[in-house]
Amino acid sequence: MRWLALLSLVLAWPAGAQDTPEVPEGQVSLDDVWCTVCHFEQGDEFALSVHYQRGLLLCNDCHGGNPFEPDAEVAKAQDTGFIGKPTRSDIVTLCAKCHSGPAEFFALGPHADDTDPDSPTCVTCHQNHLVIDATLALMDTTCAVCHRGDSRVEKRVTAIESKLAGAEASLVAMAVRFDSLQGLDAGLRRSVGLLEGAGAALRQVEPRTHALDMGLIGASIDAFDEEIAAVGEVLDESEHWRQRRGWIVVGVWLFVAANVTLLWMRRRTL
Amino acid sequence: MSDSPPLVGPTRRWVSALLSLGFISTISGFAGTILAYLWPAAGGGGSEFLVGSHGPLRAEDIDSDGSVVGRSRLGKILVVRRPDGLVGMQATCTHLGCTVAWNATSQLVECPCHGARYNLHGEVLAGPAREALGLVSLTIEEDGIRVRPPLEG
Amino acid sequence: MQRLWEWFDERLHLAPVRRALLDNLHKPVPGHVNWLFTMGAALILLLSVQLLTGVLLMVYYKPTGREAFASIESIMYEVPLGWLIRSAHNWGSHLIVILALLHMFRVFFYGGFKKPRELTWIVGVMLLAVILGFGFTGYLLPWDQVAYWGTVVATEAPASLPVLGPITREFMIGGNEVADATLGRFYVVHVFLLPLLLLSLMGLHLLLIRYQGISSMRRTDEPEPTPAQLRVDGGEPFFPNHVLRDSATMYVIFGVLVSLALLYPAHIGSPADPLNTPAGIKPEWYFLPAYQLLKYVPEVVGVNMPPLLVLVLVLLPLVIDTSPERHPGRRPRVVAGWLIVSAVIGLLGVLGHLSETSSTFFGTTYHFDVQGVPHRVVDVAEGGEEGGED
Repeated sequence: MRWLALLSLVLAWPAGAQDTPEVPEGQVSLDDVWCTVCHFEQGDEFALSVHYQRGLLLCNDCHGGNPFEPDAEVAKAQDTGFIGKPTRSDIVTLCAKCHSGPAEFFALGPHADDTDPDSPTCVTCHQNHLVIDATLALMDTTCAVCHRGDSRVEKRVTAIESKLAGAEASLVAMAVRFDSLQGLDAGLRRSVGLLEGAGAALRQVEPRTHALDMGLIGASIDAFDEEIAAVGEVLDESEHWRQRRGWIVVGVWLFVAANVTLLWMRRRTL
Repeated sequence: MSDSPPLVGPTRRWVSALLSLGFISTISGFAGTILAYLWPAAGGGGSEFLVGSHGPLRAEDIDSDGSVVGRSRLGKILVVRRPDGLVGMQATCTHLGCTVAWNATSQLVECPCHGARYNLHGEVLAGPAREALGLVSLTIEEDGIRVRPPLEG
Repeated sequence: MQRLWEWFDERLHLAPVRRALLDNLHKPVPGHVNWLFTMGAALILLLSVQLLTGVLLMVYYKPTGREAFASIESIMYEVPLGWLIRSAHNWGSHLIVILALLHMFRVFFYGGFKKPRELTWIVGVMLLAVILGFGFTGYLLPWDQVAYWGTVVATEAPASLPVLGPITREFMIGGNEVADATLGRFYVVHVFLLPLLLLSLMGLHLLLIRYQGISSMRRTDEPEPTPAQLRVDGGEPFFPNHVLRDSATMYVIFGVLVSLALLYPAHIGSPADPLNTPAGIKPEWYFLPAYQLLKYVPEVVGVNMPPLLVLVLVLLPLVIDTSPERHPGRRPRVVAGWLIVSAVIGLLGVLGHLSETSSTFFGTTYHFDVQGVPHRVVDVAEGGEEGGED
């Protein structure tokens, strides 16, 4: 993990020196922030993170201090709330300020032990400065760093990943089916809310994965499955109804044919 | 039946003529009343400020190089935010009446119906329109964007 | 039953009426009358269906700008079988225009419009105008984007006429722009005035047809055939022989209408937004030729073409095709003229449909511009369009 960070540092540094990456709208350029004069490595990493790119955070949002004060002593004075490198409990509290869901479930999980210095915190898996969007793939690489060879952990990781991936896949499949049927049955438009509800339910699952507890995760996946099933029911009924209409049309034509035949027979008798 | 003598000659002609006149007047009266009833409204309403579907439009809501269409006393107006301020012009295409829109990519005012293209002075650059779009003058005030006929000169 | 008849007959002396009616109904139709002659009956069926479904829709439809769209949605999704009623009304309108045009073509080719039946033809042309008027006014009622903007474009065109143009337009739409007032006017015309006109004209049309009988193929300078002569020529009684044919056609058309309504229910777009014109607004298919024509000729010319066409149709039996021959083979010039004009109108319609769309033929994608001219579209990755006229 650390050598990867070193590598990205080596690559990022000359890039940073040559051309400044675009400053996102509404965000402060890291060149205007005094912290990065000394802490340029962290600055370069942070510049590539989603927190910076989406204009969400600056250095002081986690570390305290005054990023616009050139004098280092004054910038890091007590009254600025400067905490320097956050402690273990600091980290969880800081991240929880915005990511309360994951934090809440992390506290229920096996890594919540504050006292063990080797136990992971948020930044262990999600990085401290170069934070990127969390994906399922993260579980592939990060768990193995400590638990390589532990079949129990590997089994659990696989179980969680497959459950989540399965849920995502079924949501995508349902959305695709919804789209294609909507072309034939405009009334489905009213059920879009159901599909969105299922999507929201899936997003509820993600913070629960931080508990790394199959029981907890399972319950939220079940809730999601229910929502998806409701959407499926609506789509099934739409298809079923289409089929039934096809048969009604056949019936109509049989009726028409019968009457035309009768008329023809009547004509023949004239 | 009464014993009055039948109408003959000139008197009879007069009475018939007046009756016809009476009938025609009645019909005309109906027609005139109906016409007045159906006469289209002058359409002089509308606010001095630019109004959207949900209330007055505010200048702050228009992004740089963005646009908005609203109603005003002068009709439907297109407002575009340019580097040097807001530009306002008639939003009804002079060809067949569709509402034009600002295309930031091509930097032109375009009509989606038959492809008429105008510049920000309202002049026709391409397409089937023949007349230019009228410009309006805009002032940003506390209550919204005030729309007025263009200033002279 | 017999007693009921006698009750009425005692009071109204219906016996002679009955006699006259039966005589008329049993009068033979000419020998050449075939299935093509049943389209009129199909139109009667369809127009009745429109009247019926229209009245049913009126129960739930709300003709104001604020409620119209929602009321249509309610009919489609909440009212039991509302979707079926609306879809039948929708498809019915298309079928009526198609059948009316086919019926007109049939009458033209068989020379049925000639003396002494010019009046029937003229009433028929008026009926066609009424049908198109139904289509035009009904189109606005759902108050979705397509309906709104299609009406804006269609009503802008007459405004280009000098002097009376703008005021005519304002009168039609009840103001400066298409709004609630327009909806109100179009609604009244669609559900009351036009039906009244339709029923009167239809009654007149049918009366004339029954009174004069279906035209034979004889020259107009020969006397009309008597019933005896018609029988000799192989004619069958109108009732019940031809009526049975009419009924069969009505059943089949009914089947077609119900199938279409069941399998392809009517759609509704997004609610009308007077401040936002969507791309690619086009009128209904039967107005496409006029719409497309406006893209090629000056507005004043283009706007006057449809009324001119109606005038030509009215003058057809009076001035244009006055030859005594009914058979199409014996009046080639008029037939050729009719076919050419129809082809041009058809071509305009096709161009109108293809314009502003892209289609792929044998592997090459063509984009048709506003004027209907195709341009070969090179793969976007290779950078843009290549202009090439076909």
